[in-house]
Amino acid sequence: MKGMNKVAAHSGSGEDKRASRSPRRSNTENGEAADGAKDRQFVTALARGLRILGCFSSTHPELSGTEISTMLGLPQPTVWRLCRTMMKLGYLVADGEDRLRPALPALRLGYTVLSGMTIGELARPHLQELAEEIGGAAGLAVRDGAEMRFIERCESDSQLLMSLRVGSRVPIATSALGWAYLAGLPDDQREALIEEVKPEPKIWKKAEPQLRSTLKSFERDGFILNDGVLHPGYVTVAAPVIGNDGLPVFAVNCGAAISVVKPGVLKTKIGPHLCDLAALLESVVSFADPKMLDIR
Amino acid sequence: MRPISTGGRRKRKAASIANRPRKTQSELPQGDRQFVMALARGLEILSCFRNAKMDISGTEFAAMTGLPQPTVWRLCHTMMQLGYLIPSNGDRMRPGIPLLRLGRAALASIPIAAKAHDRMNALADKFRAAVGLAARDGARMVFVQQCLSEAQLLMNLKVGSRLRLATSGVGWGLLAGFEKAEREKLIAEFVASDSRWPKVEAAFRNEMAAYAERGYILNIGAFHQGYNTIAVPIMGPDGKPAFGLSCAGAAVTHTASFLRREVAPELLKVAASLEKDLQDEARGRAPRRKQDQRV
Repeated sequence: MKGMNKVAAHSGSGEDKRASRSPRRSNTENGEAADGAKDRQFVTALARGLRILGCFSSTHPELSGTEISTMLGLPQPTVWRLCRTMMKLGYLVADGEDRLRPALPALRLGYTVLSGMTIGELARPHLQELAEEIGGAAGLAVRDGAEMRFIERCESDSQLLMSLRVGSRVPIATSALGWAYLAGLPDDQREALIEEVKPEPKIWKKAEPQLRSTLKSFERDGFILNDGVLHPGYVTVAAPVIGNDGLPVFAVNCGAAISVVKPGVLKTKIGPHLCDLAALLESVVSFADPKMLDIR
Repeated sequence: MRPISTGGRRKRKAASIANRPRKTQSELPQGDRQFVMALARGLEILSCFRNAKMDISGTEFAAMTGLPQPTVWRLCHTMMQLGYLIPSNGDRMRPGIPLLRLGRAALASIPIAAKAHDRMNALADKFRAAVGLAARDGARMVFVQQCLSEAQLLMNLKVGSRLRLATSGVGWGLLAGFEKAEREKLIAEFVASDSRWPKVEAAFRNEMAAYAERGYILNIGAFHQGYNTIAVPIMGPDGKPAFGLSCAGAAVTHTASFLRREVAPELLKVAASLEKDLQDEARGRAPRRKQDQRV
């Protein structure tokens, strides 16, 4: 599925904070080359200009031309030409020392539309895309006590779905969403929360070894993969969305009936795409605007 | 790949577009061979969202920008691949999350916008009003902070919303801070495109004169009947107005005398404290720059 490239293309900057705990893969580097080679409709000059704009974030409000060309792996003269065009149009301004920053007209590029949306509304089209890719459902959830509560959920037109909707809850201890949330926590806080939410021994005896081994593979993959352990016949991938303080704010997941999922795609495609979405949402929460994080 | 128009003719279109990159070259403005037209056009398409319109179709983009449909299609296709445009409602598109981040980065370079929030919010609550802080971008005032009370009648202005410099209360507030000559220069430069100006010019002149005496401007139903505004300039460390700060509400509740007696003193207090912040900011920046250089 091509669409998720777009998410990957912008997950590059500002995620340094998560690098230690979840090694998220990103196709940033080869994204452009791949697009350009396959796709004759692709306008490279525009793509490069937008990639330059994408370098700026709350963590990098100012950048020099040299820094941009390093970040993107583009030649300096190319970067310079594109920046000059955007300066001419008013989207970038330079201060005396060759530092560039986005200027007020940048707000014209859709900010007024987006700034009024909640995180659920922003995530919705991406969740829908994932739901269709996997042939099941995808959701965004927030922790609520010992449970994860869905604040957004999208379904494909598949017949076999878990019966969940916005407002539904799943236990932290025995759901991929909850495990993703746990995986996003620093070690000590994770263990404390596990103590707090673990279910009766009969269930826990079965679930805990699974959780432990999944947490280990999270270190490598950046997402939680649940291969029909929690619900026989249903597979799920999930990933935490980490806030500015380094703690998980949300978790995203997507899942489908085992019978509709091609073996292998969870690990090679859907998991990485889910990570890209988590990274994209992190760029939203990293500048926590309480209104946007309004999760009812 | 998502088609913007119906898919049937796409192949033919694609072929004709592929042969055309040279045309873009020849359309470059004379004298600036460094200008990247494809980028400029893509940004022009994105800026169609400025009026807070939620989603726009390819055909509408073409009409709004005056660009040929196949060009629009290619540019939109590229921006969808990158997530700057997201398909919504069939063949329509809406802006994507990376633009949100870009907008925030632009705001991050105006630290006063975030700093002013609590003080503006207190004003909004106290006077059940809409309080806005806006900076000038050419002929427009762009809101960089906006606080609304829960009052019923409020202009629906968000951060990023734009009003005309010469025909908005917050624009008048900014203009009042300039020396007369400079103000007239700005007016001359920017009113030509503003059809509402002739109607409000007299009121504008009165308010600029009154500003010299009382330190704020009032706008009593001049742009929107039944809606009154009080505004002041926020002077930057260079002695020029950097922002306009406005407070507005329904004419019924926010009468001229209410704005004058109750709101003006508080608004001026907030303005003074923001001016002090701007000065501190400017002082704080100088030494830090030097440090940067050393590193």
